[in-house]
Amino acid sequence: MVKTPLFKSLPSRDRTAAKKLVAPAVIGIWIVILFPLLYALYVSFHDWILSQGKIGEVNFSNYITVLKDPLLLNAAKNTILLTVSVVVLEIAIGFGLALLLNNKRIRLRNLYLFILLVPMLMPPITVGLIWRLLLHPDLGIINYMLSLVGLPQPIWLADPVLAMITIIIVDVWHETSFIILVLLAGLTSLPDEMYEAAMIDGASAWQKFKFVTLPLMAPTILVATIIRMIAALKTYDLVYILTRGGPGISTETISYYIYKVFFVFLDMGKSSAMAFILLAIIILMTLILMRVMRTAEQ
Amino acid sequence: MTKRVITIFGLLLIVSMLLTACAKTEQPAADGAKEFDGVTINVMMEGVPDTEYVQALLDKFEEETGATVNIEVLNYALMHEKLVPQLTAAKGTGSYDLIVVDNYWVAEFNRAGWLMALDEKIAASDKVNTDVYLPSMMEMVGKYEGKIYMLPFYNYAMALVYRDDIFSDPAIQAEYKARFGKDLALPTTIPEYVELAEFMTRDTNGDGEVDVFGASMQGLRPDPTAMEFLNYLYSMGGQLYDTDGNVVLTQDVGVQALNYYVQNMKTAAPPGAPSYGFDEAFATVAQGKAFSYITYNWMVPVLDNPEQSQVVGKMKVTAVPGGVGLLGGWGWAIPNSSANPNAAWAFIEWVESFEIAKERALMGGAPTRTDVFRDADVLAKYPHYKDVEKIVGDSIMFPMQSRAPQIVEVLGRVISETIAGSMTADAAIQELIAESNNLADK
Repeated sequence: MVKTPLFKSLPSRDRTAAKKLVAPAVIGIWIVILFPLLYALYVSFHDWILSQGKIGEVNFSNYITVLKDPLLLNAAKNTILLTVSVVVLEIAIGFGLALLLNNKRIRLRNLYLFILLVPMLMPPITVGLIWRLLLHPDLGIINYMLSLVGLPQPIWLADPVLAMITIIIVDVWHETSFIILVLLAGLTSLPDEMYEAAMIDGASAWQKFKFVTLPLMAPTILVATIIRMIAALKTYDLVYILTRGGPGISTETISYYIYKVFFVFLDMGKSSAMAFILLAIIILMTLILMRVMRTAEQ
Repeated sequence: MTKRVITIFGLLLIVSMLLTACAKTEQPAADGAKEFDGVTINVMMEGVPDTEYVQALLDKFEEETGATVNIEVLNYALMHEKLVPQLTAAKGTGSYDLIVVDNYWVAEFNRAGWLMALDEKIAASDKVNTDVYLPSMMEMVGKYEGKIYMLPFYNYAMALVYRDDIFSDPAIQAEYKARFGKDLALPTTIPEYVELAEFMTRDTNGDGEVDVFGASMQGLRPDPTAMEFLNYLYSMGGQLYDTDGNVVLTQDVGVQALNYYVQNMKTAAPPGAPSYGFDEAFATVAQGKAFSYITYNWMVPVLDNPEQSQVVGKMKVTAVPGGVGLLGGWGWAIPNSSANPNAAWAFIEWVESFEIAKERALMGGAPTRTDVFRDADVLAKYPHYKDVEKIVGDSIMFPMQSRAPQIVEVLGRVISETIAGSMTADAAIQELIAESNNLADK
């Protein structure tokens, strides 16, 4: 076992006991995270289609085919469009609502908060199924309501452009609660002294927001953005339920495409290679975002 | 010390695995006890009417044999991905003792060696005789490369289901004659069908919006749209592969069929149809908003059920225009990973016996046995089964290819892209032919 400062700081007779106590957790992590990850890396360097027999020789062909695959490129474009749209909208709407909810003069604040948090409590599959029913062009309640007030009734999921917009809307409806929760927690913990000082200096509401709230909230916003971004890059369930990547390939995301290569085409090698590329992109984007936000903070 | 902890942990893991494995194995019957007392048969099935009919009769089997039958009912989309890991499990350690196999998994499962050959069990059985099955069913979900791996459970040959009340309405017949100069008749070719479907698409209550569509359609990727399109292709004389597994699809026929399919989707189907799966397309028909629907022949009993439908007694079934539609079907199979193969076989013998097969048919089930199709009681209740027997006999199955799910995936994608306009029909068929060659077994 690795000698960590944690163990070094202990008296030698306690070290063995400490290691024993930690062992189950370490073994658990090995079994459920590290081993599958390393195994997937190993598989990604081999040709292996599950229904076609044995694992092949070591080679890079999976990575080469994958990077040339126009369908993966299309999925990457869709994923980036989806991620940027939902993260920007969710942070903007979520921050706005968190600021409103942070106003202690609003009556029934907790009730509003509870209602706004309900979507977060639902699993994405349920959200997808509910929305699929709501959005049914002929039988759904949304188009029925629109027809009552004489508005046009869009075919939400059957039009290539509209289908992506619909997925973005549903995702924003579902995930904004999370942003509200994180940002509201951040806002509640801001020190009052700064606002009192700003008030004495005669700052306007806008100035207080711009020079006190925003800088103090930057780390929280950063965390919320990173968590949402990582999750959005992996969007799979909404696409699976709402469109199956259609119409055409207009809503196929990387995760959905990987799922198909794995579970439909049973191509272990190619799908593992794609999963590793996705992992690398996510790590890279997280690092860049952290760097950018740090610089902005200073 | 650390080593000992790991050893203990490992031992515990092994013991728990052994215990789980032991709990499921068969024990010989004691004197006086029933043959399969205490045995649980785990079955995976799809959530369809035919599964409900089996569930309704289960008590009889459990009463006779003492076994408990545990049927896990799943949505089709989840079945394949849940089955494969269990089928790859070592002999006797899988979660499912008995499974139902969709016709387009047959080659894949058998090439991988996941299913148990049933020839010896059939030879030893006094209850099972495979000669009673329709040959088209036995070819599809019975035999594979000369051996028998499955017994046909039910058919889902596709047919044209249409509203007879609209079709025989004298006003509509007169309007049709005035417009086309000929009598209204059931379509015998795909072009005729597309023309009729467009004619039937209309605003019946004068509010300026179409409320009856000529054709209910399902454009969702991958299998809903792929299965639907194959009826157009087969009817126009096209096929993906010949019986030897060579790609025989030609650009001309493929493009023609796809163009008619897309045209029907645009001129006669509800605007949301490109994203509809089976449920939405079915709902459109059940709510009386469609004149016709190319779907499974056994949808008529379902549409005659007042709990699910507003068109009770109005639907009729006929062959897909052109006479050749897509044949589908499921077979009972015992995976090699089955922990209880003998109990599973006893269940197959029971469920496929003439009496039980007939009872299922009387509930609305889709027969696979000729003696059930021709049974007087069955025909008295469902006179149209005479036509259905012919439809099942004439239809063409999905090509017997081990990578059929992948072919369906590609097919579904290129059709959907053509409907969405991101691909031309020409390019779609070109890609389909190229991919069919890539994915072919030889």
